[in-house]
Amino acid sequence: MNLSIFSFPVNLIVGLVLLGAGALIPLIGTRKHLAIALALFALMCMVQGLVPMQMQFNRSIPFIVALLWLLFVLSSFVFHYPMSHGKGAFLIYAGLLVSLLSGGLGACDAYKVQTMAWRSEFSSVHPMPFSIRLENFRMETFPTGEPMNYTAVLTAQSHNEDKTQHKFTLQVNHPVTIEKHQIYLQGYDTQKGSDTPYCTLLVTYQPWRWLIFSGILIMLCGALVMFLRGLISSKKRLLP
Amino acid sequence: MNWNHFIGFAVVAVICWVMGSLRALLDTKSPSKGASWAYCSGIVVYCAFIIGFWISLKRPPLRTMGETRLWYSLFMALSGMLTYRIWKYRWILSFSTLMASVFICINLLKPEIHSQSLMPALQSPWFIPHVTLYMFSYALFACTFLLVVGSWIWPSLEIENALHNLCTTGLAFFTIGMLLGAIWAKEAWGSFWSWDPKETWAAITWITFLIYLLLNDAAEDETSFAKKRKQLRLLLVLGFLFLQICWYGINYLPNAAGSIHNYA
Repeated sequence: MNLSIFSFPVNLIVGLVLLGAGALIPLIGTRKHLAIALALFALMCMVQGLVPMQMQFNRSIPFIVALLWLLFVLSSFVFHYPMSHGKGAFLIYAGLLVSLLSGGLGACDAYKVQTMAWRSEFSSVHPMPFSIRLENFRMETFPTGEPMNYTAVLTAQSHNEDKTQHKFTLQVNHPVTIEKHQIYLQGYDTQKGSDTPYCTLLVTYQPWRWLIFSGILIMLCGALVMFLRGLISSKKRLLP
Repeated sequence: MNWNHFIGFAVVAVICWVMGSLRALLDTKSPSKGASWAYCSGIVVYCAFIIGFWISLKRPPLRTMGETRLWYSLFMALSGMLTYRIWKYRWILSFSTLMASVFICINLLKPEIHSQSLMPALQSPWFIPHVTLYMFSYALFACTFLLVVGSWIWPSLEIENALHNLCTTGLAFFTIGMLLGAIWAKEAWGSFWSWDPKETWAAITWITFLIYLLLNDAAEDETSFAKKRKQLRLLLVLGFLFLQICWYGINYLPNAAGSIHNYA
């Protein structure tokens, strides 16, 4: 399914409508409804986990419907959550709501492209707003010959009128942000090692990533609270 | 200090841990001081090796697969000790000793693994917490499964509190492991979540245990909750099965070849 029909501002409106509906309809936010919605979503995940990834089941209509239904029930559950049921669990559900909502709806605005940076010239892939050239490539290997670490020095040239240039260094696990895009080092010509004529890069644009990240942080806090509360309640609930 | 010294330190540490675990099981008081002292001595001995190894390597011993397993065992023993001191569960020390020993044995039995390198993507501070927290939650979930099986054999077995505690702690660890993985995935692969088979099955496992806790708490409000709770235990069995798929079962699924979690 083409997700571009949901791109900004449609996704923002859908998100607000889901949250508003959840806030206004307390009846749907019961634990049983949430369990059913979660089970339905898990069922969709199972299909996703069994079919080849290329089928992109996670972008199919049944998957998206199950996700939207879960978001609706989850928002109602979160808005009408009785705090006596545990703050840790509340934070987990609230964080899940924030990260699923921003991850699911934000996916409509995000893109991810793979591109190659050559030593000889600047190159780019649509819709990147800049082109990239490889300046230098260094690699260290283990005694066994396997790569231990590799570093690429690159220059990005903006597509705007000024053709602004940014010089930066990339390593695996250390992405760099240029013009709101994150650039990741993925690979190189393994036959040539340090003399590789190119390196492969992943360029992502994910404007909702901070919202997803805050959802993750809320869930992390929830899990910590859940663990600590477990410690306290375990004093009351001793094992036989 | 090198790998050849490992066996000496490991044997002493495991003996201390076994003594601590036995003392914890037999002592009338919980937590027992004797058990804690024995267990902590094991941790100190084990730590001494890691520090010595670190100094002689002139870099943190976190690079090769064998070196990371070294840390698994340490964390396993440490979390077991903390859980024992705070929760006072007698059995937890035996359990963490078993888990720690498994990793030590793999290091001793497969010495060739020490020379294997760690690919650049795995060289991240997230690697250890991501994997160790998962391993500990796997262990706790396995324990809930064993308790449910036990309750089928001996129907009078009282396991409700244990199931609730183990499942809550297991889910807390699983959640943290999964979320640290998501943050790491953003750094390494460009997205928090990419519906990779391993991630997908982790999500299914997570949801199953979450549903168990959700419905188990709901059942508490109902009059027929004892019967309902027994039915709910099937969810724990199901969750345990999904966990096995997530852990190693995915290697036998048709779509596993495309998994970015494939480091074999």
